[in-house]
Formats: sequence, structure tokens, C-alpha cells
Amino acid sequence: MQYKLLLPEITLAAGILAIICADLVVARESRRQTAFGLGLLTLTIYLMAAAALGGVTEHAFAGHLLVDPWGSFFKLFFGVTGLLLLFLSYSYVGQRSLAPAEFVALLLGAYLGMSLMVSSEQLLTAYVGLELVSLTSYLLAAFLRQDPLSTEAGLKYFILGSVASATLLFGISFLYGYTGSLELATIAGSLSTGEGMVVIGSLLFLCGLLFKLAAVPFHVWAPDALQGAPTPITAFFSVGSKVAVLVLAGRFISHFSGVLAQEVHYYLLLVAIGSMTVGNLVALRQTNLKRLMAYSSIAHIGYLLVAYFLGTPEAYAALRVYVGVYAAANLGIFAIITWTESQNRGIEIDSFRGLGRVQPLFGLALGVFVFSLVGIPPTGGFMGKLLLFMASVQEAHYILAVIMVLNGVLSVVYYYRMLRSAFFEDSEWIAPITKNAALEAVVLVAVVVVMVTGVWPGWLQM
Amino acid sequence: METYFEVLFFICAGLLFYPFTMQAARLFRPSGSSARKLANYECGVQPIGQAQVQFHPNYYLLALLFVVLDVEAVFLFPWAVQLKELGFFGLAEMFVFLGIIVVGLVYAWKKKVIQWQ
Amino acid sequence: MVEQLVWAAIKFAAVLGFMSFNAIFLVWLERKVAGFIQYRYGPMVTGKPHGWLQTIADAVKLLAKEDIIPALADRKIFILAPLVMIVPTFLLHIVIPFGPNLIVKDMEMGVLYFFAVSGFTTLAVVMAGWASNNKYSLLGAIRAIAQLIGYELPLIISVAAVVLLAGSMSTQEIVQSQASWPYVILQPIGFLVFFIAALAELNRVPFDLLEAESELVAGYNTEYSGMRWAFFFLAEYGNLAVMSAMIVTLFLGGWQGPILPPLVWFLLKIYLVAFVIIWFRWTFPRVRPDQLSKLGWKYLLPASLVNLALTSLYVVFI
Repeated sequence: MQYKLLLPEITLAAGILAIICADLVVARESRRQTAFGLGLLTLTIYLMAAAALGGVTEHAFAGHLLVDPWGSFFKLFFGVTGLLLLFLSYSYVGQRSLAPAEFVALLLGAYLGMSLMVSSEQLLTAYVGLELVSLTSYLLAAFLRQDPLSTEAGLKYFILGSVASATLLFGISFLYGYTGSLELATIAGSLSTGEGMVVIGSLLFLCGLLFKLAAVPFHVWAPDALQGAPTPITAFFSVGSKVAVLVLAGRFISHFSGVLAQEVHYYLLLVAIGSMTVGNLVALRQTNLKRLMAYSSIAHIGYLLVAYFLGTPEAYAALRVYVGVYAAANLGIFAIITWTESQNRGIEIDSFRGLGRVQPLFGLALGVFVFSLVGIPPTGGFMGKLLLFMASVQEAHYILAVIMVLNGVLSVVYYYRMLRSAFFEDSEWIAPITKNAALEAVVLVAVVVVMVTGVWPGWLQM
Repeated sequence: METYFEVLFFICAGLLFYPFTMQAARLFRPSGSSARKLANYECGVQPIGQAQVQFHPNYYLLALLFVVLDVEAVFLFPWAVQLKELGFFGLAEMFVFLGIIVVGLVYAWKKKVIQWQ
Repeated sequence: MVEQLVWAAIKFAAVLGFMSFNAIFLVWLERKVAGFIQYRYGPMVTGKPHGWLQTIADAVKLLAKEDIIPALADRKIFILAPLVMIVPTFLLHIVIPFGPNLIVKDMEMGVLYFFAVSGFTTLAVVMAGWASNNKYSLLGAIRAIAQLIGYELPLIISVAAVVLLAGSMSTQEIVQSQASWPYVILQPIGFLVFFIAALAELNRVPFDLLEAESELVAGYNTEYSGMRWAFFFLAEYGNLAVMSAMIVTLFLGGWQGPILPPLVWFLLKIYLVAFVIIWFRWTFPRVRPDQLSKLGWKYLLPASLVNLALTSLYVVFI
């Protein structure tokens, strides 16, 4: 039965409908509990369904759907980050009295799109998934309707994102028009290296994806969109939708590596190095935490693209570790930002002042996350960078390795400013400090993931 | 093409019919107007300001709802023609589809999109 | 090719004749019916007996009227709007089956074509209302959007149920499949929904809010006069006849009937339906805008969906 393979996605779709329906009948006071409860339930079932399909490799629905271990890994990844995001946003939604059902349903809608994206090697299905992610993302970015920054974020994201979608679709039309097929394997199989139309088509397609990834020449929308969006959604943008796009890009590149002209590969390398460098350099000047994290995520996307440039099994293995750890550390930091924001301290770097004294747990965790993002042992971030570094040395790309190391050093500077704020500067915390169990749980999970990966990265490669 | 030849012909003929009749009527009708005659009708007084106001935003929600359901309706027709052959499977598929659409409709209803304001 | 063109031209001429006849006859009928219902005579003077020349005299008058385009109007759109109104009306006649072989073109997807084309009416109304730059016109147009949008869905979905039963979208085949039972018996809910929605699509009483003469002067065509207005008028009565014909085709057995030839049956049925629609005009009060959208979205649409679900169950299991 083919539908079994679609079970994770069906679960999500059913969950979304259930959340919307439940919201219409439940009393106003318990709407948030209902929506988030159903969201947790849905994602748990989703995780189980994805885990059950873990070892399966199968095509279904006339090639529209592909279930394979690579996709299933990311489905599990999405399930876990989704759960953490729900914990992250529960109090945020309550504090700002946002519409809870719409929030959760849109978030799950984005996850549905991401899940479709990673389980397809067919361009149209992938595109539908991508659009589902994009459309829900636009709405989520503009979710603080009273906040002009959030509206600006949504609008910018929407306009520029539509251009990206159009570019992507244009590229797909080139590939389809030239080969008469929408399946990556068939397209790649019927081509010989460096045909002009294919280069144009795949460049357009890649540009669309790189745009959604906010890789360097296409990154200008990202800081504004990420700054204005609600904080949990900013976290989602940096660990959720980008990863799904990355997987799609990976599938595309791995199929086309043989037929793409060498120039396209070097274009990719250029984008990767550009993202790293520009992201890190601009991050040096940021004072707003969300903007800082936006630029840092641009930089990290650069590292991840290196894996695709290399294209070796080692590089792909490194990618998994890198993505897992990066997501954990990012979610952790955003949990801390959400917490300081909920204490009415804003989202500047200075808002962290005295964090180590007031909330030692969060202070220490911040240290772990920052170490991981910089790549200092024994955290997982070190492992991710090390594996990537070794993969590039193995392919004799020494200069690339050096650039990566230099960038790591560069990033120390701005990450350190967060730590300095938290530990070596102090300020008065006026409001009575409230604990938040959900956020603490997220931070703890993130710390565990980061530390475990630091000593045993193999668990992310199973 | 064969099927739509008449349609094409009717479109062309219809497009010509209007200007042709307007020109023909020119033979009978008087011409030359005064400024008063060309003024917009507003119960006899001078019109004040532009009439081209903005629409209520609710119209866009209503229009969106309409587009969703109208596209759904287009899907209904091929399904309706083939249902006897598709049998129970087709029925179940369409019920799922309609169910999702109906949830959207109920949602819009509850959120007072349909209400005239 | 030439033969094809000639045939198409003949068909167009026939449709044009049918439309003109409808405009003249239905208006006369409307006036007469109004007269009898309101206990007066209606037109009696021009043309005896019973003033049958009155509407022709009116048509001649319209032809001789000055062409006025208001100074403030959006000229291009103002001129184009009657065109957008009239061309779809021509196109709608293509799929109407007047008899077993008497049809301009029997399309495989005739019904879908019919409703796709009839959607243009909304556009024309909005164009006319917006371009006139007149407050009454725009109010009429704004109401028109809400109304036409709200009632198009129940209309289409109740037709889908008929298509389910007939297993075809071709109007001829739908008529043929009603040889034993007209669908009004098998589809009472669908018929009711379709009839009410059709009234709304035709902007007829009780759904004539967009040209409610007691409050909006004449609604979207307030600023139109002479021949330009005549085109709206022609299209309106053409649509009335075509929609009656569609009701007959889908629910009342089309041209089927004993003894009399098919064409006579069909025309009889059309004018019977048209008569009922005219009768409504002098019987029912106008609905309020809030009632209008409530009726369309909250009663007719769910009713048509339920009807569709029941019909599909019937088709599959019985």
C-alpha cells in the first residue's frame, strides 16, 4: 500500500485540520492549550511514523514520492526541532496573545511542506512542498500584526520570496522543456555534460534555492525578515525551512554533479565562501541579537554549502553532524533570547547583561552554544567543523580549508560579545524574574545534544 | 480546434457586433453635448469628489474564499463524469478533498468572513 | 473552411435573432405580467392588440439616442464594459440544445464551458460600475461582486450533482439521460438551489440589489444611456433566456416531451421558467445585503455540498 509511505505527511495534514477544527469549538481560555497539545501529539505521531519508515527505500505515486534513509533522517530532524519549537513558542504566544491555533497550524503546515520537500526527487512535488513552506513562512513572519517591524518582515519576505519562487520555477521549466521529464534522475540521465540549456536551467533553479537559503548574493532579505518575525519563528527560519531547502539542493546537486559544467561547481564554491565571509564580517557590526543570529546563519549556510561542493560521502556525513549540532545550538540560543525578551529586556546583545548571575543555567548553556557555534572542543560544533575540514583536506582543497578556519576565528569575535555581555557585564533586572520550564527544557535538550555530539558524533550518522 | 471553431467565430462576431452597432446608431442619433449633460448623475446636484473609493478589505477575504472553492468546483466536474468508473476509491478521495475544503469554509464562517459588515 | 464559416455565420445570426426576439418578447411579457398582477393593463397603445409593438418602438428610440460618456468616467473601460457583457452572452448560447440536432455546438464539456463563460458577467458589472465614477454605480458594482461570487458556487456545485447522474458534461447527453425522469424529480434540492442561485446570478428580484432602483437609481448602469445601455439590456434579457434554458436543460428534461416537436417543447419550457422568474419580480420583496450573503454562503452552499455528497453516494452504491 502506497499510503503507508505517506503516513508522516498524512499525520501532519490531519493534525492541522484537527487543530483548526478544535479551535472553533473550544472555549477561548483553553485554546492555547488545545492547539499546542494537539500540535505536540501530531508531531509525536509524525516522529514515530518517520522512524518506522527509517530503513525504507522506495518510490511511490508514480515517482512523485521517494522515501529513503537520507530523507527520513531529516524527517526525524524536523520532528524533533518541531517539538522543541512548540515548547519554545508556548509562552511567547500566550504572552503576546497571538492566535494559537493559526500559529501552530501554520507552523505544522510549513513542516508538512518541508517533509514533502525532503521526500521527493521530482521537481513538481518538491516545488509544491517549497511553496507550502514559503507561503506559511510569509504569514508566520508577519504574525505580530500590531508590530510594524513584523509586517515589514512579512512583506519583504513575501515579495522577494515570490521572485525566488518564480526564478526556481523558470529553471524547472527549462529543465522540463529540454528533457521532457520532471524527475531528477531521468533528467540527469538524459543529458551530457555542460549543455547550455541545462546550465541555464540548473543555475536558475539553484539561484532560487540559494535565495531561500539566504546564501550570499541573495541574502539581503534575511536579516530584515528574521529581525521582524516573532522570535520562535526566527528560530524556525534558521533551523527549519533552510534545512529543508538545503536537502533539496543536495538532492539536485548529487544527481547533477556529473552533468553540470565545472563552472557551476565553482559558482557554488564562490557562494559558499562568500556566505561564510560576508555573514561573519557583517555580523561583527550587529547589536540586535536577531540580526546577529541572521548573519551567523548566513555564515553557517556557507559551511554547509561546502559539503555540497565537495560532494564526497565524508562531506555528506559531516553535513548531518553539522546540521544537527547547528540546529540544537541555534534553538538553544533562541530559547534564551525568547526568555530574556519575555523578561522585557529587549533583543539587543546588551539584554544579556547579568544573565550568568540571574539565570546561571541559561548563562552556562549560552556558553556551550557559543562554543559549539564557533567550533571549540569538546562541543558538537567542533566535530561538525572538523569533519567538514577533513573532508575538504581529503579532496586536496587546502585553501578552502584555510578559509574555513579563518572564518571560524572571525566568528569568535561576535559570539564572544554575547558571552561578555552575559558574564562580564552586569545590569539591573527590574522585573521579577520568572522561570519558564518549557524554555529550560528546550535549553537542556539542546545542551545535551551539543555535548553528546561533541564526544560521539556517530549517533547523528546512524 | 475543431470543437472551438464556433466559439472563436462567436467571439469575433461578438467583438465586431458592438462597434458596428454603435457606428450604425451614429446615423440616427444626434450628437453634441453640453457640460451639464456630461456631468455624473447625483440626483441633480454637482458630484462631489471621486466616486472610486477603496473596497472594504473583507472583499478580499471573500474573494480568496471564492477562488479556493471555485477551483475546487473545477476539480469536481471531471471527477463527476468519471465517478461510475472510479467507484468507491474516487468517492473516498473526493470526500477527503471536500472535507478539507469544508473545514476551510467552516473556519471562514466562524471567523466571520462571510458576514456582511 | 468556407462552408464552415458560412454555417457559423448562420448560427450566429440565428442566436442574434433569438436574443433580439427574447429582449423584445420578454420585456413585453414582463410588462404585461406586471400589469395583470398589479391589476392594470400594461402597454396597450402602440401596436394592437395588447401593445405588442411597444418594445420595438423602445428599441428604435434607444437607437436614436445621444451617446453620452460622462466627463469624469474612465473612458476606455466605460466603453469596453458593454462589450464584455454582450460577448459572453453570445457565447452562452452555443451549448444550449434547442432540439436533438438543433445546437450550435455540442461540446464534450458543455456545462463547464457554460459556467466558465457566465463568470464574465461579474467582470463587466465591475468594469461598468468602476468606470462610471458614480457613487451609485460603484455601490451597485460592490454589491454585485459579493452577490455574484456568493451564488456562483452553489450554482456550479449543484450542477456537478447533475453531471454525476448523467455521467457527462455535454448538454445534449444530459438531456438524453433524462428520457425517463427529468432531474427535477431526482434532484429536488439541487433544483431548488440552482433556481435560487440562478435568480441571483441574473440579478433578478429578490436578488436585484445591485440595481435596486429605489436606492441606487439603476445600480452599475446608472451612467449608461442610449445604445450602450441597450447592450446591457440585451445581455440581461439574453442571460435570462439562456439561464432559463439551462434550468430546462439540466432539470426539466430539455427538449424531451410527448407529441409536440422538440423545439416547441423546449421553447415552451423556457418561457414557462422565464414567466415564473418574472412572476417572482412582482411577488417578492428585495432581500437585504446581509441576508443575501448569509443565504448564499450559509444555506445554499452547504445545501449544495450535502446534495453533491448524497448524489455521489447514490451513484456509487445504487
